[in-house]
Amino acid sequence: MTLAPDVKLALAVGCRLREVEGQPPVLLMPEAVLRLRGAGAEIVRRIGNGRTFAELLGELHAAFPEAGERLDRDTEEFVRRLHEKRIIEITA
Amino acid sequence: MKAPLSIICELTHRCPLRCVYCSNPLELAARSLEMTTAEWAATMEQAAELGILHAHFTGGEPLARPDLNAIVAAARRAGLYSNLITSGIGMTEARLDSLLEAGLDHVQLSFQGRDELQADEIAGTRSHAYKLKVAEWIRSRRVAFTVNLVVHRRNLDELAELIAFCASLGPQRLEIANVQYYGWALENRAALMPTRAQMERSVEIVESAKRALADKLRIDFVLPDYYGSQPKACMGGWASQTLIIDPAGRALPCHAAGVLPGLKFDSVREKPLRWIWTDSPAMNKYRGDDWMAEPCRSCERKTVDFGGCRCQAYLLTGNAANADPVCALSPHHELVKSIAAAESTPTCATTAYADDPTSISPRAEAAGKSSGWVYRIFNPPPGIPKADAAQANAGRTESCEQPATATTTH
Repeated sequence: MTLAPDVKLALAVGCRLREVEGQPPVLLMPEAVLRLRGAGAEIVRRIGNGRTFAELLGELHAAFPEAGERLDRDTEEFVRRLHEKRIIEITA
Repeated sequence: MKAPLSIICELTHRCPLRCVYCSNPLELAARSLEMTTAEWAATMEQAAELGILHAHFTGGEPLARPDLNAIVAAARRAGLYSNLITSGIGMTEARLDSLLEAGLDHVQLSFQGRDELQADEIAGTRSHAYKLKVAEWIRSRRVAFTVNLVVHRRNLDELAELIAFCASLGPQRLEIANVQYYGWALENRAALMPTRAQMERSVEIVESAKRALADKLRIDFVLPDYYGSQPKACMGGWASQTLIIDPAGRALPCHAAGVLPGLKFDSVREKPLRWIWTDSPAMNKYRGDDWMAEPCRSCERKTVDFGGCRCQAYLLTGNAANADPVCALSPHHELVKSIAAAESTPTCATTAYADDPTSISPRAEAAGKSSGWVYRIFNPPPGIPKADAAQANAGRTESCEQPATATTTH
């Protein structure tokens, strides 16, 4: 099932992005960390600032115009995985 | 040298609770030896510089330190993720708000049971009713919330009810841990050891609860060691993922390591944290597999479980370099099986102090080991059995499945 464009994405309680100059971004959470790279970092950074799914896709397409339709599929897959791991909240 | 993920800060050994399964060492650090605020703050900076990402504040009861806010703030300034592991005693709503303002990310609140009498007996003091208030305060604020529940023979028969109780407190995560037998828990092993039937049933109950509560909370379950045939990957390997700092500043690869003979654990008061982690002889003693003897040396699981727990090997076999006797391949494995069989008999349990645990003199409790609980005592009087042990149950980290666009480290 495709995520609705207007669902709101936010980092879950207790999850926060750590960005230090010269170091890869890291998502900190209870009992674990997620080291981010490339598109993963771009997605999490935007979710951390509060986005709807449509806004997230729009910004990613603008940032990676060469990615094409595959970007939608990969982004949704990643967002769903983050949600399954309780790293992000998805609300209507 | 890979940096540890976590630093576990035992800010104090002082604690208003006297839990019978506490895995602090029996010889607790006196208040006068505790590190100062400035020393902890400097340690946070050094930890971040080393590459550490998580700071766990524990004890004893970390709320016993009036400067906890300042230490949490120092961790946040250094960029660390901070986790408070607490009994809740000493918390107020104002103090919780202040800690969150200082940057606290995660609170782990322990419960000893769902029934006040039972919980307070295990804690050795009246605390359950207050913990319920603290849970409500935490739940009503935007902070990650884990409930910790320690299970043992006395409460495993009501595990399903205990899980329901913990879930009702509203955490995002529930950690159910069987007692690990170090420190005070080792002293009470005969009264805490579950039966095999309890252990097997508990696995089914937890799996069922995980499915039923999947959309509400995550459940992590630590199995009882003595019934296993493969040892735990203690601390993810000696000096591999976690660094413990005791109240006096001593750096240890696990809580219990202080018991091991012939090792000098350096202090952050005297040496830089980076040197301690990378170069100190104690941290390198059991790194890798050069130290291993058979059956570990040629075992294909040596990179999975690292030979188990060094402290448990020492406590049960007298040699820390032996395979953890929990391993079925250990020549000492029968010892573990016989201990579990002998000490899981219900006759070892006691309710001697259930009526009013706060009224019992610590000396009487300690002396009464054969007939009841050995409660944790902050300043043990002479004559109390001294520990060969301390704890090796922390530094918990979890794996996180690797998404297509990111990599996970833990």
